[in-house]
Amino acid sequence: MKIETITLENLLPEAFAGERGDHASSDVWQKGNVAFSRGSSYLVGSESGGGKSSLCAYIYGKRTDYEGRILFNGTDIRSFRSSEWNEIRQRSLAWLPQELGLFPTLTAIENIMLKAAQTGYRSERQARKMLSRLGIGHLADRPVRLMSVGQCQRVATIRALCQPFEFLLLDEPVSHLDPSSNAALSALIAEEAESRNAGVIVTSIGNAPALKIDLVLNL
Amino acid sequence: MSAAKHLIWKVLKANISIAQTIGYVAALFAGLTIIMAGAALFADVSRMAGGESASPLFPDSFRVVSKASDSSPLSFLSAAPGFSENEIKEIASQGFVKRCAPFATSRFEASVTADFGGARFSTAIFFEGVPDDFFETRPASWGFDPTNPVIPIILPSDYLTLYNFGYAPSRGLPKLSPRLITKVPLRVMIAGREGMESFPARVVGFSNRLNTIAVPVGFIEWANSRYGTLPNAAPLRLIVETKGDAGTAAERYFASKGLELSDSESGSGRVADFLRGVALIVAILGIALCLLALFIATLSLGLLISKNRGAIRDLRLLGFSGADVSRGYRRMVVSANIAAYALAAACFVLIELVWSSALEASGTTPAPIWIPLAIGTVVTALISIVCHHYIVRSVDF
Repeated sequence: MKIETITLENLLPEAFAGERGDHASSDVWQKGNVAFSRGSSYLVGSESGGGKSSLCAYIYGKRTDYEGRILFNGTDIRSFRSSEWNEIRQRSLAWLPQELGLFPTLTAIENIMLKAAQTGYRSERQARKMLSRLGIGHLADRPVRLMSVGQCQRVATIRALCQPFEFLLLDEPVSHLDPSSNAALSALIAEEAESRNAGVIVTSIGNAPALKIDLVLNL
Repeated sequence: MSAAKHLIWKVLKANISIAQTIGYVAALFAGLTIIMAGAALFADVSRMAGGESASPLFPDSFRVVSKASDSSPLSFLSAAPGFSENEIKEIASQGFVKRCAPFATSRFEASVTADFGGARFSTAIFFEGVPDDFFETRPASWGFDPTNPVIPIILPSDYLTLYNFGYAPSRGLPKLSPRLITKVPLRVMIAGREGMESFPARVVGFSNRLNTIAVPVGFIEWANSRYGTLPNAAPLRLIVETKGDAGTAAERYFASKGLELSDSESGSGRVADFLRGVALIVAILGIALCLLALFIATLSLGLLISKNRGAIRDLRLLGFSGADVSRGYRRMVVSANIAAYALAAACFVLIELVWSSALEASGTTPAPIWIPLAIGTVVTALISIVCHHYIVRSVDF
């Protein structure tokens, strides 16, 4: 399935269910119809605890503790079977979780190749080039448990970019990056998204990536 | 994808406990070895006791079957009931029966006279006969020829014992050896429709199997047609050859039909039953050990998977299927099972070599070795399938 639109219908985390009516100012929660289109970039901003990571986890199918519906091309994602999610996560939807999800015993390049080899979308040479471009090429063969959070953030983002996708979900991709690293990473993200004509959904609590944003949504 | 598989395994092999793996392989090895040994013992006992050709360890046994005597006070008024042809056929068709035949009974009056160097013994007598091949040993002179009528007689061994240890001492008479008795000339007097007739006779042997005064069936048929004064009657007793493993099954059957059974000359049926019971217990012990091994396996795998739960979850979120993620663990378990089976098979073959040479020394061909090996393979495969499902289910969250 190629995801052309992601639609949120009256979405509300169950944790917020007791606070009905308090979300009038939110652009997302309990709104009848919030649509994300392929090819556009969205910045989802909020204070911490606003539900950004929850939103990403809902869209990625990791969590289902919400009211309302999320639709891919009009189909409720609650109806997807495990095998359909595998296919979507391999080919249509890439995700950078806030907690990164890297495997500490593997090196940086192994973490990336684990994902890249899944579909054969990127070679090891291309992956190493990306690491170099973000200034951590020399750390490619170091186990990620020995790397800083900022370095790990770049490794995990490259991993997310090494697969085919129509949508890219980035949960605070630059929260631990300095401005120059932010610029380098943002440029790489923009390039990769553009080459696939992908939609990008980025969350931020302040340190936003230097991306061209089509729409800002506040939670 | 193969690079990805390699990396998945690199992530998930963390936390594998060598001690638990060795414990599992050891338990499964012991369980499989015992199951195979039990199966081999069971197969050998069944083969020895139930086969068409009797094993020297479990000889076939001969039983004499008769209808239980009527205990009602008027029973003496009616003749003893005999076996109808249908009843004989039914008994012959039982699984534990190799063959059976009715006793032929003399239907004329007869007496026998013996000369012991001057002392003369005389007594009324009767004869019975069974087909020749039911005798354990047939003397060379067995048979009856009307043109040269000499009656060969086989007596129960008990008669000789009774005489030598009971009668002879009480009368101050010498003990007799079987060999000497066969030298004593006898005369059989038969009273029939055409008056008395006398025939030479001789004891030609002793039998443990037949508790009767046995003569060739040919003589009984000839004499009955010539001298018989009583009408033809259904046979009163049957001789039944049961297979070595008939055991209690035969006893249960005859008891249910209200038939009396002479003691078997060998207890091989019961021994076979007992040995089969032992084999069954051994096999059950093996199965219990295999179940214990399976328990160790699921416990260890459950622990391993829960320790690596975070990594498994992250892999699933990267879009790897449960099959992709569980492949390494499944292979690990199958490898452990194959290793345990290979060790158990080697150990079993060694045991079998010792056991079968002992069997062959006793003149018995052991059962083919592939049956227990195949049972071991099936058990290993079943355990592998259970582990496979357990792993697949455990990583699917």
